[in-house]
Amino acid sequence: MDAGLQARPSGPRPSSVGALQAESFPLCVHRPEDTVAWSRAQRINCLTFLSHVEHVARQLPGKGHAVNLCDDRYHFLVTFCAVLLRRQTNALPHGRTDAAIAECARQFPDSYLITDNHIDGVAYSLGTVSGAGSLVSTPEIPGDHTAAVLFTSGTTGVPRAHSQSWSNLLARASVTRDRLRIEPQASIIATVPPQHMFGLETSVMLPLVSRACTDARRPFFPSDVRDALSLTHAPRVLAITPVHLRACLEAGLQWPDVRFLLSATAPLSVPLAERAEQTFRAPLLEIYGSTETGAIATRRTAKEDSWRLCDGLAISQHEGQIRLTGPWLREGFVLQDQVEPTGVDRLRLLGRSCDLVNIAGKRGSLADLTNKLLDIDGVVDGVLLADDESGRPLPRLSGLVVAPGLSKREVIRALARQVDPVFLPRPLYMVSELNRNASGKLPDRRIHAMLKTARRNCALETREVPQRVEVGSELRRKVRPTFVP
Amino acid sequence: MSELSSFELEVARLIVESVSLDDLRPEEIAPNSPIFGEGLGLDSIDALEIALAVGQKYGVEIRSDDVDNERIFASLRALSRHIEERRTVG
Repeated sequence: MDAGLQARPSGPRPSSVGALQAESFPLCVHRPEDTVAWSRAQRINCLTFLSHVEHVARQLPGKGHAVNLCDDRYHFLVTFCAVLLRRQTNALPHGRTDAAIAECARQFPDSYLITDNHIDGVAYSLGTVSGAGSLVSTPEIPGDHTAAVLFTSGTTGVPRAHSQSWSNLLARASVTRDRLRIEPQASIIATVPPQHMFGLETSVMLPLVSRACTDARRPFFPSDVRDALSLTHAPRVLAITPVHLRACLEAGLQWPDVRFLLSATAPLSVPLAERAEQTFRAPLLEIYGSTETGAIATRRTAKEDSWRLCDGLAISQHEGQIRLTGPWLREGFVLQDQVEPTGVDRLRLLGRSCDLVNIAGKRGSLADLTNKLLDIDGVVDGVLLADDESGRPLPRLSGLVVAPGLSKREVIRALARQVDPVFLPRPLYMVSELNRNASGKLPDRRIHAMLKTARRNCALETREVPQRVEVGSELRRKVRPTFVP
Repeated sequence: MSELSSFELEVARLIVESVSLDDLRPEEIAPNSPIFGEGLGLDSIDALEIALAVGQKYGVEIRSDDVDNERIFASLRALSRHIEERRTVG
């Protein structure tokens, strides 16, 4: 064992983040021979990991914001740390559309792209992660260094950047580690991309603060999830979205032992949580959080209704608003959702803000999406709907559009230039007018009735095959995952 | 529009049902145009749904490390052929 490679046992305590901003903290708390990651079923120990970090750090441009789009989670992790080693900042756009990346570059003109996949026009491509560095001890990063910038869609439609200092990220991950009692060398398998806050906290930051190891893959189909679990060692933690979880449960596969499951990005139903616990024979913890705050509270959805606030956080009610405060949220954060405090560290989630929609883990403002639809040249009127008649969230938005001179394909094409593909309405019906009430409003009831009529009419007509455009590079990767470094 | 075989129509129905393409009739899917991207414009969440439906109905497992994925998902015709060759049930 290399005696020089010593790391502190954990990240900063949540109560002391402010005081420790000026201090430095190690990149990771792993011991030299600890596994940091599983990459193609091979263990990568801490010494090798650090040499990869140093190797990549040497290749980075002199300064700037690194738009880290690496697909392979180990490549992402190495790049993330290499960027920190160079005292640069990881910029993590909220999507992979050209618009999301362009917005990132607009807000940070010194941005450069870094990917492990071939994308046209990429400034820097991570060919292979290999090569030896000469690090003899785990490098330390100043706590006040801006480690990452994440973007949220924002109610105005302009993505908002949220900067996270290294100490903030460590403190947030440490809280999750302590809540989950992650065991050293546990394997973390995640279906979410590392660029998403849930993926970043569970599959990048959590391993760095807990001696756990991350799996490089991003399993997609249920068989991929099973394979990823089988190829890593117990104890295993599976971080999964409700969409993937449902697919896994319905696939009827045999599952390796899992210590526990984590679910986030969208509300999880109680029956789904119960089935997951039975199938995986493990507890499932749902995480309530946001990009701005990280994890706020957790609950074991199959067994409890109320949420337990993460340590170090507090909520208060003021003028009808629920404000969340904590060491890394010193200015406080007003929750958009309707929340009822039910104890010192307990809360009930009564409802999500009706303007916020969550499709496949992506958050958008219904008002903003509708405005983008109405802004399309030729669109006279239109409406988007996120819930079904019983108020349950639909898997996709439904839409009705009045645009006499446009085909459906043209409307979708124009909208696809503006919004993430997950927000493209399906179905989208072209109608002659919207049945607004006397005050010009469109109650949900009326929209549902119009949708029903449009659906019936559509079944009777013969129309051209609708075409949609712009599918994220995400998909191309998933159905064509031929990347070999 | 070229004709769909009866099995292709069956797979088209499965696609339309599994991804809730309420505004599209199965027989309108062009057999040779791409299922994802340009073409039907489906995305990754749809791929998950289709893979699940195909697994349940025909016992054919789809995984993302299959080097043939690009070919399998190239079109309705290609997907139908892939299922027909490997189906264990249905």
